[in-house]
Amino acid sequence: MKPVDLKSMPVAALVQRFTDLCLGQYEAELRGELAKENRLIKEMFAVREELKARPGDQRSALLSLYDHPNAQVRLMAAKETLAVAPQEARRMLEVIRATEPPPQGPDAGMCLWTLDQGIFKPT
Amino acid sequence: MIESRNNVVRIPTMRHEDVNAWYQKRSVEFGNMSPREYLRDKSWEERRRVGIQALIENGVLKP
Repeated sequence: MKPVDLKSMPVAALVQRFTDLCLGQYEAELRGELAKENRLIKEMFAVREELKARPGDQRSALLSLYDHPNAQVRLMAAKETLAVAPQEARRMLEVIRATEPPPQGPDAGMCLWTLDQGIFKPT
Repeated sequence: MIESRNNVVRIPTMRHEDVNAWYQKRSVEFGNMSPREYLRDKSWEERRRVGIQALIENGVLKP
């Protein structure tokens, strides 16, 4: 498989790749394909690191995903924007926790708990 | 400690699968590791805290 050159991708393309990876995670979870889900999560982390490295920290571009119809996309966008938009991201996690069934609802709840416990310190 | 009465709870199979899957998934809040990997070198108390909260979030235990 050809490696993806994230460094040459414009921000909009990175956001689209982030979205596609989250949708892939959603599908993998539905099928119980945990190894694939973890692989896609790892690739999503690479996209996050590339956005973070761009001038001005372009993780803020992920805020546009807050109204995506897919809960996994919204969940990951919220988690990955905690460092750049802490109040908005927290609010999004609270909404997901209150409204989404497993796994996204409990996942959002655990993320909030790790923030409150000081286990997770977004940077 | 693991098998003691105050550490074992009966839960529906689906909930068990949900919680088990969560433990194996990488996440940014655990340093890009899975919770299981993160907790590998942590104290019993921290492992228990995380476990209990996971059960609360999955509707198995009350807060």
